[in-house]
Amino acid sequence: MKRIVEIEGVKRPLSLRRLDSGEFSVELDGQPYAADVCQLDPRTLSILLDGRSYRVLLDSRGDDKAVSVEAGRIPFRIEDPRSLQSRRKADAGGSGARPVMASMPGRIIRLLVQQGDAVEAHQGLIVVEAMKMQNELKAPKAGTVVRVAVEVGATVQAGAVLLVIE
Amino acid sequence: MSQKIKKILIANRGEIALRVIRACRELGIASVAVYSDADRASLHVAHADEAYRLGPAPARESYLRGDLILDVARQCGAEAIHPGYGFLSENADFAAACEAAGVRFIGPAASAMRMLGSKTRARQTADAAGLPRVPGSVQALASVEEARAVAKRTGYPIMLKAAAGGGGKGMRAVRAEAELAEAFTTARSEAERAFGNGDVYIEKLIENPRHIEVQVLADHHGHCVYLGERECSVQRRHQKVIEEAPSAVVDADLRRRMGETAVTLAQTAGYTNAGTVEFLVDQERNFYFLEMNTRLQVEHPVTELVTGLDLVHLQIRIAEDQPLPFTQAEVHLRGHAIECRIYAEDPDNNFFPSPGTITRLVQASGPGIREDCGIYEGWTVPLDYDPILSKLVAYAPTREAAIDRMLRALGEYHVGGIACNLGLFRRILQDKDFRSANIHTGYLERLLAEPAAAPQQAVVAEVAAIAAGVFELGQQPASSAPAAENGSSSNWKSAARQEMLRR
Repeated sequence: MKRIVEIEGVKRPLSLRRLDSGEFSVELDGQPYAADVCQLDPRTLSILLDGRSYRVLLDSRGDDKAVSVEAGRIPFRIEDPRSLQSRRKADAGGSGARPVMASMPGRIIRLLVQQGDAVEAHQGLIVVEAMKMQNELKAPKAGTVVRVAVEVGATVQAGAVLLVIE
Repeated sequence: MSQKIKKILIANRGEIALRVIRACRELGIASVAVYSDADRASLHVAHADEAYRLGPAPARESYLRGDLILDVARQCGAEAIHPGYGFLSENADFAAACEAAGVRFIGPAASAMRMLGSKTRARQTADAAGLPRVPGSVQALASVEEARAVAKRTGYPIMLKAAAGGGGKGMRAVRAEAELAEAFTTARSEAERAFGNGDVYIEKLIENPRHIEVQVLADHHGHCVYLGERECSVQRRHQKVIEEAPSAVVDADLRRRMGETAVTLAQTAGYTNAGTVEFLVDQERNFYFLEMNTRLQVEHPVTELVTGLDLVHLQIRIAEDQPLPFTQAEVHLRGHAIECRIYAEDPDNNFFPSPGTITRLVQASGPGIREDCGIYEGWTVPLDYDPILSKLVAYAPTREAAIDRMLRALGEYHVGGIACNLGLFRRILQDKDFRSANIHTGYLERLLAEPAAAPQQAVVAEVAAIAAGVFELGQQPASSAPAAENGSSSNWKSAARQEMLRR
């Protein structure tokens, strides 16, 4: 398997082959690695590298992929160099309208703007309460509020569009 | 005349409900859980001997419905109610309703709670007993105008605090008069929402104090003891983050003076059962009474570890009218304990709450580790309540050893699926100032303002990259089909093929 793994903004070519013995042959950045990889369960690896032992846990949250190693969570992206799909995705979404979405489930406490209002970047737009905490969502860019999709008191799910700025 | 309790209803949820259920089981007492619709799958329901539904998810329609809870107690024959912390635990009307219904409330009498549970009344009680307290008002403020007048008299900076408050809710620091009106309104509305009582009062803000509290225990026979102190200076937005016992700055003499002050306050109010007297301690180690929490505290485990006592067992014994089984002279502190409050919140994203499903839970164990936990793998953290997941506690002979033991345990611990604050504890416990006990209530905000620690080592990124590839490989069909390798130009086709292989 050949993949590009992106970690901390660096894209690194990775080649992996599962040997008949169950071990893996690893090549990272074109260099062979003497990594002894043992899969403890579908979400846990023990990796021995130069005699050092690492416990690595798969730590993804939905589409947000990550591993945890040495108690640090390291997000990664992985793409198939043969696939165009990931590149196409990255090119989309360049239009002027920007939705403001709920980052978690909650309740709308206050609307600070109305449809048609001109807003500055980082201006407060809407106050959402979750778990007894009130959080103010701010404008991702300067523009005009073209749509307000919720009312005060409404309960929203994570990812729900609250309003749109153009 | 002492009378054995045979069945206790626990009017709470999460880790504290489970903590009390465990004590009941150890004492051979039947336990009754109550739950909201959001908590049918919660651990406390599964662990209790009996469980009854209260109502919909919002606390106001379930865990704050004292009438429903008393109905359940009557119907199932529970002779006592343990309120835990939060919810109805400091509600004097509920305690009085229990008394009237002939159900023992495991906590102080309603009258003592009224004298101490309201922060303004507690300040009046402290004045009556001649104890040192933080300057400010001893009455709720009727209006912004009154707030302005009191603030001017006290001198800025001041704190606005909810009379019925706790856990930092309904609390605002005000540094100048211009900020007062808005802070007054938000503090009132937050207090109203959190406690059903919008009363706020003013306290002088003491700069860089330590928050140190004394655990007291009083029986129905006039005995009252103090069980040493807990230092809770590591706070964020007035919410305790790490607690420890004993405090590094309290020596035997200060411990005795603070302890005796706490006992005097409790006895002045006719207080019984477990309670906590909170003090602010300034840089000269003067201490000022802050408030009394008339319930079991979240952080009670650190006191249990250094005293060797079980506070919930003792609470139940006191409620049975038994005398305290030891005297003040028999209370000894041994070793050091530290507690980390694990919350479903993201320190890398402004501490936003992160409700959701816990897809993975790897817990710490080994010597000197205790965990009071209310979660399990596969459970969904509801968004209706405080996002506390678990309390991890380390105990060792010295403070330094306890810190290192906690770091070791945090390295083992893992919560998957949602963000939580484990990384924050690692950062604090490795910080030079924390390790030398150079802390105060503003310590954590200052630490968080500094840039985070050094980036990952290169080798860790390599390990992560290899692991990412292996996990990816694991999600593919076992014998990777070379179909796409043969120059198939259509993504649609290869996607369809992969789909087929997955079936």
